[in-house]
Amino acid sequence: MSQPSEPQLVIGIDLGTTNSLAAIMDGGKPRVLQRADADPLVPSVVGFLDDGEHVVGRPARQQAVLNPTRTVHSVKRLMGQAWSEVSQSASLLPYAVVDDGSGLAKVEIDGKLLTPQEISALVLGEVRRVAEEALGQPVEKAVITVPAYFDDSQRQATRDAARIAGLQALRIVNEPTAAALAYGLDTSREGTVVVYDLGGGTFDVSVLKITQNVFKVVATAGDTHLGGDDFDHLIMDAILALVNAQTGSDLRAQPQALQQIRLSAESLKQQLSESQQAVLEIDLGGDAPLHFELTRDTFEQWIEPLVQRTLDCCAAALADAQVEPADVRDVVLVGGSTRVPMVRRAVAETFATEPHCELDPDRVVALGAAIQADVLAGGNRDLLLLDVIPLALGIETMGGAFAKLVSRNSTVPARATEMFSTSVDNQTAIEINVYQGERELVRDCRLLGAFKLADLPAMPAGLPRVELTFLVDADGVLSVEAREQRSGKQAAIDVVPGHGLSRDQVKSIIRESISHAHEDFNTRELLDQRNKAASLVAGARRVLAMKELTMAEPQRAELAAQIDALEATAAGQDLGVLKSATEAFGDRTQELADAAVNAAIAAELNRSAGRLPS
Amino acid sequence: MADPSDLPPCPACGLPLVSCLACLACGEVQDEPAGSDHFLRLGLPQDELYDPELAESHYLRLSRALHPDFMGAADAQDQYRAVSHSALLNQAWAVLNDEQLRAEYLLELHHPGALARNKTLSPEFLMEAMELSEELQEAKGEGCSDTIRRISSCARSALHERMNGVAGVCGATIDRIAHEADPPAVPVRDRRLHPHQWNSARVATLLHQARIYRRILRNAGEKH
Repeated sequence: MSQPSEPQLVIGIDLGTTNSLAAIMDGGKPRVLQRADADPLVPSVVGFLDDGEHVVGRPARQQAVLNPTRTVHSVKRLMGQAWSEVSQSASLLPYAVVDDGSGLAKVEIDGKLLTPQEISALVLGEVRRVAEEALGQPVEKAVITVPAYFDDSQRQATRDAARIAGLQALRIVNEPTAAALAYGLDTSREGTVVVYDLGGGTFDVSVLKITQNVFKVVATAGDTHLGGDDFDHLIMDAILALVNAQTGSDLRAQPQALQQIRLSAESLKQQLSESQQAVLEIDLGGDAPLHFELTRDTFEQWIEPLVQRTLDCCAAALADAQVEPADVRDVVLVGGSTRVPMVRRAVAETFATEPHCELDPDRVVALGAAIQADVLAGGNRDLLLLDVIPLALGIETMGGAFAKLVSRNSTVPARATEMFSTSVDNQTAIEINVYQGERELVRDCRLLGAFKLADLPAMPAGLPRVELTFLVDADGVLSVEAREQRSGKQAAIDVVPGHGLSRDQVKSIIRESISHAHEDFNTRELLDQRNKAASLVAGARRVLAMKELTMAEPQRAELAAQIDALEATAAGQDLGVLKSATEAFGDRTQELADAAVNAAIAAELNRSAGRLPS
Repeated sequence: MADPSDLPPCPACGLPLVSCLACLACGEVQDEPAGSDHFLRLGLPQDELYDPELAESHYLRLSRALHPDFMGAADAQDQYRAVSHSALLNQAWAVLNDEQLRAEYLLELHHPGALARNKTLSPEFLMEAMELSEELQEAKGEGCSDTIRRISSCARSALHERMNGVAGVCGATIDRIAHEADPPAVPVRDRRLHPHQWNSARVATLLHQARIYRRILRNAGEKH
């Protein structure tokens, strides 16, 4: 067993559809990381400005209404997806999502195509900066959460986003599992726990069994395209229909108005969690504003089919886990959308127990990620998390059938082996398509990638024996190995991703990426110190130039020399030297500033004394 | 290599190895010997009655020794070995902790190819299973929960009958086949399984039939 070594610094990051945030383990408890007096939640929004620069987080969200086509939100929905899979839902997004020519969905800003991974990397970069400022030290490693229902390409895309942001994703952890950790449920008693996670864009349900500090996920189910945003869309549709009926205009074609209505719909939804009805006045510049009224009852009727879909997922997960609703000891609610009263009611009725919602649903995932980060950093050796893959992995066989090799809900790391041979004499290559899904035919599953077993020994058909090993790592990401049994030849296979980025593409993005300008912590710290020194230098020179300052010439010369010295130090690369020089100079200039203020006050007093009648 | 007693002592602590993947005593990860099987990986005797509690305790202890989460400080080669050993352990657990898969695995270990050779099921059986399955589809379509329950209980007792049959042919219970409300038709004779003496054709047929009833139960959304 490897010896525990010095714990490393690893943070937990919840990379959400709507908001993202970081947390860390601190004195045995997880805490969220934030800038002084600021909200730890970084909106997962990137805004592109006229000058080619970009802003991330709150400022980006603030410019959303003014600059809707260049403000990218909810990009998590596009991660690892083909254009054909998202074209429909993307039509409601105010920014342009296009087919890049190879079938991948990309975001188009001012004629430039950006991958969802690059946009996510910008969000991750901002979360990282927040964490570094809160901790006062550089952060290079993180545990990043994803919906449990994310497939291989979506997980790969998340790992790639981290790499582009210059972060090493030590582990991809499922959000519901992280939430279960955060609740610190009683681990001494055996029990079954259900995590119901309804976020902005995705729904997940996981069934976990807890025994002796081991959290074992036994089943998971979900829908990567079902969340609170869909509640908003229903309200949006109603508002748009009302506007259309009253004025005849179609606001769908006006991104700015659409964005405003999206925000209004979200706010109406939030109000309906508190009160029985909510009202929206829409000022379209006409005589009277349009009046849109919505009661909680009506809203609940609209969302009922969506809530039912989440309950169907719960039933499927319980069936997979071979668990009855009555066997469930605790239910945990995660995700902002679980604030909707109807959702809480439905969950409570389904499991006949009052669900846990003590922890802030927006923060609980990041807190759990921090707990897992602590395990990976070597700080906690008691807790063991055993997670599963959400969908079966397999290959295409004769006639387009899907042969499952690793079944869904298999604990990761997982593996499967399969023997292959040739079908034609002297065939020297076999092509294999890898799919993920639960259906019988590959056309109903997702193509993860394809690879070719080349350089097989030329032999009669059926004689070569190629053993394929599928290995799914603890992040739920697949790799494939092949060995020809007769020649003993081993081949490492690169699966060419069907919906993601190849390793080379990720590398080239890292080279070219707009976020590559991301300076490491020391460089940024050096820049900060230089700015500080520059302002001290400028201030001191200003004071020195004041004619009111009475200062003997030798002192004046000495000060001028000190100013020049600091300026020279600031041009150097040594952060430590600059830091102490700036501090020392700061003390000196404090005296100088006091002297300058005194001189100025004295001069002013003299002037006023001159004007006053004596 | 079929038995833990064939394993050398742990090179790290000198105590006898139980599992071929890691030492249960000190956690030292081992290089897996050729010819290892799932029983050896979980450190369980192959020809004895399956002990679910012992199996789970071995699984959890080995998971702690092997899981990549605890390998942050290890070099790349050891990290890779942890991932691949963990995967083997999880695979062993998934197979052995399921009575059906365990019986199939044991049969294949001692009678390779028996399952494939005995795939053909009698037309009478197939007809009966198909009718049950169609009836279930209909009941599900109509949301008729009473009928679904009746079909489930029918499939469950048919499944138990098959597994008891397996036990009978094997000369012992393969495991806790006994359902509390539905004791096995064949009494437990001893704790030894003697898998090499099985009537492999009969066991294979019963296991194929059991698989079909499990699928029906699963479709009904019920435990098996």
